[in-house]
Amino acid sequence: MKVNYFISDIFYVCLRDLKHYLKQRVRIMATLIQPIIWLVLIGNLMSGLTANPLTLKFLDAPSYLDFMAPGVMVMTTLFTGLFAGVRVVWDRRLEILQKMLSTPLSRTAIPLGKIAAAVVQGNIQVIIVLLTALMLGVTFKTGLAGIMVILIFISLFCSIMASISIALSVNIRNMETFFALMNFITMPLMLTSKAMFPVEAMPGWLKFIAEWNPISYAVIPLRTLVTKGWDWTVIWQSLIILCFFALCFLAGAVFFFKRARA
Amino acid sequence: MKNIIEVKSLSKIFPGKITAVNKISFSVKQGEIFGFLGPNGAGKSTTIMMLTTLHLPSSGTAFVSGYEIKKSPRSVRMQFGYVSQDLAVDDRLTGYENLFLQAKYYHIPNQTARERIKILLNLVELEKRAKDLVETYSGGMRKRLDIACGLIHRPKILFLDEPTLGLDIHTRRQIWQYITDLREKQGITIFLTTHYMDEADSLCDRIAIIDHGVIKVLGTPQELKSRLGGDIITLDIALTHVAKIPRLIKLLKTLTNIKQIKTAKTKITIVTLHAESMMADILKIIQKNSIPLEMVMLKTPSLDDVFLNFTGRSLRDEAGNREQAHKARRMLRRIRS
Ligand SMILES: Nc1ncnc2c1ncn2[C@@H]1O[C@H](COP(=O)(O)OP(=O)(O)OP(=O)(O)O)[C@@H](O)[C@H]1O
Ligand SMILES: [Mg+2]
Repeated sequence: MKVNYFISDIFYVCLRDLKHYLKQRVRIMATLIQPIIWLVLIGNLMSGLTANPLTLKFLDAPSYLDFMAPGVMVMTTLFTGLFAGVRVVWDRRLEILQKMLSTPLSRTAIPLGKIAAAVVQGNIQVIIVLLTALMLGVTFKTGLAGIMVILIFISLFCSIMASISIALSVNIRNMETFFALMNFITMPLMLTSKAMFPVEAMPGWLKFIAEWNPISYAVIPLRTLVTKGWDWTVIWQSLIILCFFALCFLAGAVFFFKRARA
Repeated sequence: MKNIIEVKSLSKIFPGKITAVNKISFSVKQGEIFGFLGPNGAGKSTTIMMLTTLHLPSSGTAFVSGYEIKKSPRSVRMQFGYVSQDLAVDDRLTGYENLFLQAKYYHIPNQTARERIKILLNLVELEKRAKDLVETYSGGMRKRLDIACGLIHRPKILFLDEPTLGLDIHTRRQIWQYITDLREKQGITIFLTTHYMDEADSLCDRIAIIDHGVIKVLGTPQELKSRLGGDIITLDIALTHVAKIPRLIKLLKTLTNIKQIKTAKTKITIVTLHAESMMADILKIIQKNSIPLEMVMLKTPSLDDVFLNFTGRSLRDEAGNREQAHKARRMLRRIRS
């Protein structure tokens, strides 16, 4: 019975966030168009630069677009995940969170439900990126099964990012602070990862950071699945590391959320 | 009657050494409408938030329907409905969706939820707008929806933090009606806070006046008013008959229930606990002695006088500020959409 209640709590918290998401038409349009712009614009802009044998050797991929597509998927997920905390700040601001906290709703289920909603959104958006990439001629070496595995990676990565966002949001009372904090995190995190540029082309110190950057753990297996094929060592290794991180961060998000004052 | 809420020496000290609530003790009886009356920052909301397990008390304790707030918060949460000071309804969802989610937070089965929502929508007169986004609701409609949300699980106790703040007179009356009906028909105990004197006076069975986190006085509105001495009757005797005043006073003193009689020139002031019933007797005496009256005045002390007496300031001056603060808060929310 208790377990049923807990699952139901997560479900309805998640449902509420998804209902909100589906009612934000402008935001949905923006998140749908953004990855298309990324792929079309950057992919094309760079094609002159990247279509020479030397760069392709660095990229280790059929084209820059093939190289970029997994990066764009991870980046889209990154933004979606980090947006999760905004919901906490708003709900607290509007006292809706307080109202939820005064019901028997499990206090562990609230952050988990919000993270679940972020994961669903992340998946929707990544599917859009996937379709765009397919239309632009990116070939997925591992086919439909590979895409399923990609979505598993995306879900894990999204829950990590949403957990970070929620843990950071619990004591923040206004939006400006929250967005400033998120900007502060995303830019360096993105640019120092293996998402945008091949690690072989990086200077030593950056290479070191990129090696440890959590984004890299999501990008590398995705890139392997798209451009190389079933390289099980890479896939298992990243899967275990991401699972481990996801569990730690979920626990962290729940801990910080429960500790916060109303 | 049984006490449904027992508060024992409850305190809340916020970081920065702000003592919002300072060792208050009181109890609320089952089935009564209990009011907290106090100015801005008195600690009304903080008290409610401790009783609803939203804030952890710094010291002291409270029992809500037999459950201790610190030891069994989850059981406490099943006992009450909470309607916060701000309009905590989800304006991106419809009225129906708001109620349905609230039902699910209390793990009410879908079929039961649907039935109850129908009844509640009917109660707060929102059936026609149930499928519209709350965004399109007026302030009064939102408040009514919020109250309906607080009732979805049929709670024993309803906490209403300033239920009529910022509403027009018609909507306020309507909400008073719901509150009295809930008590009459369903026996729900109601704990409300307010800064409106008339609201406390006409709605509450008992009132606690709270200021700077301390309960200054507690009792029925009638008791509180009589603490000030009672009602005051003033008689103004025609100048031509001033000579008869001493004899009149002697006669008046024979009446029971008179606490005090004073004279000043042509005026006689009588302090009594039961002015309405005394009035007839007094007038009878005056008529018998054929004394012409210039004027008769009856003044019942208002809760405002009580408030002034116990806190040293008038609540009326605060009212304007509060409305402004509330408006500012509502404006802030609009920025979102
Ligand atoms: N979260 C908080 N952190 C710090 N201080 C707080 C907090 N909440 C309330 N206070 C302080 O506690 C005191 C009591 O506040 P409370 O909100 O309980 O008053 P109130 O009687 O409800 O006032 P109002 O009529 O304005 O709603 C105020 O001085 C307020 O500044
Ligand atoms: Mg208040």
